[in-house]
This record gives sequence, C-alpha cells and structure tokens, in this order.
Amino acid sequence: MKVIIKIAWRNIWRNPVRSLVIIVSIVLGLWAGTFVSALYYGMGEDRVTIAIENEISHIQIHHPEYRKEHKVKYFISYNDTIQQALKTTPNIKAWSARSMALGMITSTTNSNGIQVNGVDPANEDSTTHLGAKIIEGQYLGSGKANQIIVGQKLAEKMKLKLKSKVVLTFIDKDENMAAGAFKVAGIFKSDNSSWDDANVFVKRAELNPLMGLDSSDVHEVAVLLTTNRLVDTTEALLKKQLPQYRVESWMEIAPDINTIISVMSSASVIFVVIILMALSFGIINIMLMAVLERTRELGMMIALGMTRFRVFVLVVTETFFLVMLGCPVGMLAGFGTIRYLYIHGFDYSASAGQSMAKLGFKSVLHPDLPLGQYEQIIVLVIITALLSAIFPAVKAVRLNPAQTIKS
Amino acid sequence: MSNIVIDAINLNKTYNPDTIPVKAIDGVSLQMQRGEFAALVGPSGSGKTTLLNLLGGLDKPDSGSILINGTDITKLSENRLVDYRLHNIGFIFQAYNLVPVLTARENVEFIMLLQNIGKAEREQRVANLLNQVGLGDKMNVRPSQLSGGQQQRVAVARALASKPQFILADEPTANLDSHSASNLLDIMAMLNKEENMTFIFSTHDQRVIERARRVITLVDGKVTSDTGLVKTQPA
Repeated sequence: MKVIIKIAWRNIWRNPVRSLVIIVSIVLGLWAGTFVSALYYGMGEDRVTIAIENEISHIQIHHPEYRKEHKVKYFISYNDTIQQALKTTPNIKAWSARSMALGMITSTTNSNGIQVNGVDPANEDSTTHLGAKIIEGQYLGSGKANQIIVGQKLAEKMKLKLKSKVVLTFIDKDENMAAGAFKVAGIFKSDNSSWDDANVFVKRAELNPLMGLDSSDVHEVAVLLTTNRLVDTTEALLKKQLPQYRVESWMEIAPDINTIISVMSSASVIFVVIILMALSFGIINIMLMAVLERTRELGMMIALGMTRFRVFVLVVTETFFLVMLGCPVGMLAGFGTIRYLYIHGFDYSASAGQSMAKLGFKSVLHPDLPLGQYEQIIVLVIITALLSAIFPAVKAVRLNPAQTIKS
Repeated sequence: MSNIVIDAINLNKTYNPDTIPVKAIDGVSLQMQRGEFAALVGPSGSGKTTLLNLLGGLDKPDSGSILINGTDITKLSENRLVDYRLHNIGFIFQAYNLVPVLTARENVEFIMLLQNIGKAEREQRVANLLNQVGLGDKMNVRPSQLSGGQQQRVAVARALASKPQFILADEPTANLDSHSASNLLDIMAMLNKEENMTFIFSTHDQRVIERARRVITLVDGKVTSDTGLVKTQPA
C-alpha cells in the first residue's frame, strides 16, 4: 500500500495544471454546495423565525372547533385555568390572548377582506413585538378609544393615512352582522407583506362587545417559548393541563411553513446533486485522461506483477488525494462566505425582495448551515469523487499488458 | 531436479480469429535450460514478441501448454498468473518502461514492495543490484534524468530484483546507441555468468545475436532453426 500511496501522490503532480483544474473544481463545487445549502437553510430558518416571533408564536390554544370554521361563536374563556397553566408551565416567555373575526375593512374609498385581531396591547407586544413594527403613528395606546393599527400594504392599497376612519364589519357570536368604526392610529410593517395585508389590530376590550363576547372571551391564545427546541415538550405539558382545549404547535397550525422549508430543503438537495454531478463528470474526464495517457505504464505494472486490484486502488487513491486537497480549501471558502454573510447579511432586496416578502421572507438573508451539514457535504463530495474514479479505474484494470507495453 | 526451466509444447496463437486471422505462433515447441543466454530472432511479424508474451504469461495461447518449472502457466487464473509473474519472471522492455515518478532506487524496490519483502533486505538488494549495473551513484535520480542506456540498466536491475527464474527481454537494445547496447550486454552476460540467470531476448540486433549462445529463428510463427539446447557454459 505504501508504494501505491507514494506513486499516487507523485502522479497527481505529474501534470500540475490538470490536477489544479480538478482541485479548483472541487473547491468551487464545495463552496457552491455549502453556500447554496446555507442560503436555503438560512431562508427556511428566517421564515420559521418570522412566523413564530411575529405571527403565530410557538403554540396556540383554541376552542376545539375554532380552527375548522373560524366562527366567533367558538370562543374560549381566558380564565384562571388557562392563565394558571401558562404561568406554571416552564419555558414560556410570553403569551397573547386574542379575540378574532374574519370580516371586511371599509374606508371612504375602498374595502378589503381582513382578519380583525382584538388584543391586549401590552401582551401582544411582548409576544409578537407588534409595537416595534410601527413605522408611522403609534401603537395601540390606553388613552384613546377605537384605535386600529393596519399594515403598510393594506394602508397603501386602501389609501389609509393616520387618523383615517374605517369601518370593520363581521359576523358576531349570534351570527348577526356587526360593525364598528375605528380610526387609524398606526401603520405597521413586518417582514411578511401578505400578512400585513390581511391583519388589523384593535383592543380586545373594544372588539369583544361588538362581537357579543364578554371581556374575558378569546378565540386564540398564542404562546411564545424561550426556545424553538422545547415546542414538543411544552405542547405536551399544556395539552395535559388543558384537555378541553385544542393545543397545537406552529407546525400543525402552519403546515405551509413546514412545506416551504421542505421544498427549500429539496431544492437545496437538487442543487447539491447537480453540483456533484458536474464534479463527477469533471473527475471522470480528468482521471480517464490520466489513465489513457499512462496505459503503457499501467500495463507494465500489471506485467511486472501488480495485481489489477492494486491498479484499481492506485487510480482511486490518486482521485482521493485530489479530493483531499480540494476539500479543506472548498470548505474553508464556503464556511468563510457563510459566516461573513451570516454576520453582515445578504441583501437581495434590489432583485427579489418584494416578491420574497410576499412569501414571508426577509429581504436580507442570513445564510447559515449546521456543522452536521458541512460534514454531510464533505462525505457526499468524497463519495462522489470515489465513485467517479471507478470508471477510469476499471478502464485501467482492464488494460491488456501485452498490448499496452507494445503501444 | 530437472534443469529445464521452460518447456513450451505445441503453442498456437492466432490474432483476430473472427475477422482477418493472423497466425502469430504456429505449433512452436521449445525448451529452455537454466542459465541459457538465448536470442529469438526473425523478421518483423515473425512472432518473437508474441512468443515472449506467451512465455511471460502476458498472453495466453489458443492451444498448447507452457510448463515453467513444471507448472503449466496456461492453466493459471488471472490472479495466480499475476502472482506467478511477480515471483518467477523478470521483464525488460524495449522502451525501458520505468515508473517515471519513482527514482532508480524506488523503481528497483517497486517489485520487492509488491512481493512484501522487508525493508532491510530491500535496501541491501537495491544497492547491490544498482551497483552491479553500474548505477550506484544514480540511485536517487528519476528516469527522466537518466540516459536511455542507464534507464535500461535500471530495468535490468528491476528485472533481477524479484529473483526470477528467468528474464525475458523484448528487444532490449533497440533504442540504445552502440556503446550503451554493448555496455548493457556486458552486464547481462556478467549476470548470466555469475548468477546463472537465464536470459531470453527477442532481437534484431546483430550484436545481441553474436553474444547469444543459442539462437532460435522464427518465421511466420514457426521455429525455422534452433542452434539447440546447449550446455550452459558461462559466456
């Protein structure tokens, strides 16, 4: 084996330009593979973060029927049982109890379908940071009555300004038409423009009477945890304490987000496979050239008594060395790029920012890749390279020494 | 113990049997004794290289058998044959065919590494062999820095390194100038004499033919003349 390693190592430097071409291909392949994977992973993570921190939180509690029909009559009482459970369950950072109705918002010139969210301003802010998203005007205050805050997208569409008057129309608890007039106090902007377009916020204390509900009645309690990792555990604990309610995690509430992440993950895998295929053809091409150039030499080795298996190992070892030279550089380049963009952000707002915001993605991405995925990519590249070496190696093994020596 | 190293019986080999058949070897039988210094001669296409390939186990005859020290190598599997070549047959090729990335020392050592010979023995034998062929001062030089004659002497040392039963040399002087060719022949004659090593050459070179103690002539794949089994008197 020692002699094979020695010959293989020296062989790769016989034609340095050719070896450098393959090493550079490996470096570029790895760099592109890690970068694209990190981009998709980062986008997925960002989407989850946005959804959890701004929209749905980690866990939600509803009336068992509410999520099927979203009718006002399916409310729950935000009573001591729920509050006690939320206070005593560990790892809960904040929660917001909302009364909600699907309805219409009408201005003097326009109308639009929306979801009306009646919230306790302080709790909503600590759960979804809604106050921090106000870009114009102010957050729901305690002083003035009938305030509403709307998303920037909706405000633009309905030509709403601060202090504009709007009427909210919806079906109340008894399934009668109900309406209330509100004045725009603030305009918010989140990272998900579609969500901004579809949600308005008023105080729960003002919405509930319009819906025919008591002040303690709500449709949803959104629960924010201290970490994403404890969703399943906390969900189980809450389910145990609140068996009469429907307790669900964000993955059950918003399966579309999981789907987006799965699609991104698949897209990343497809991209990596394409890169690996390109790398594979490059390696096959170059190693085949290296074998065909040395048929006489390889034939001589077989003639002298080198087994065909050893010849096979020689060609594979040469490929392995080339990969091992390219791998660390490619991984470092990929890691460096990812870390830089993770810290400084990758701003693509100029190209696709608006359309991505509609899907709930930030316009500044922070590519990220768990260490395990770096390892997976290295293993995939090594396996690809070794598999690619098989064809040239088999070609070498099949050489007829009597013919090649004469050639 | 018999002194016969090679006993080839009624060998036949035809190339392209299904398209344009070329009878390369046609019923050749011959025996070689230990310590022979024999030349296979004949015009181009007479079957010299084919016969050497058959004797060296690099090719298989269509019919006939080749007994080397009593073992019929035509019946060995590919792997057994490779192993047999490694331990029993030394090769010297017309184009030297050294491994270009290895030094002279490493080229000679290469075959012993394949044989799994220990380091101390390898080093001693490499030094002895390269000194024997007059290249003791070129041990760490790569083939590209050696002349043709020097490369062929490394090839001789490499052929001897495995302690083979015999050495097959396919036109070993064809690419050498007269001085290098003469020098190489002196070395091989000396090894034949001192080590009783059997050499079988294919050659066109009159200088080789003159030095051979047995000359086998091939024409159209048949042995047309053979100076015969001669006593292996030192050259």
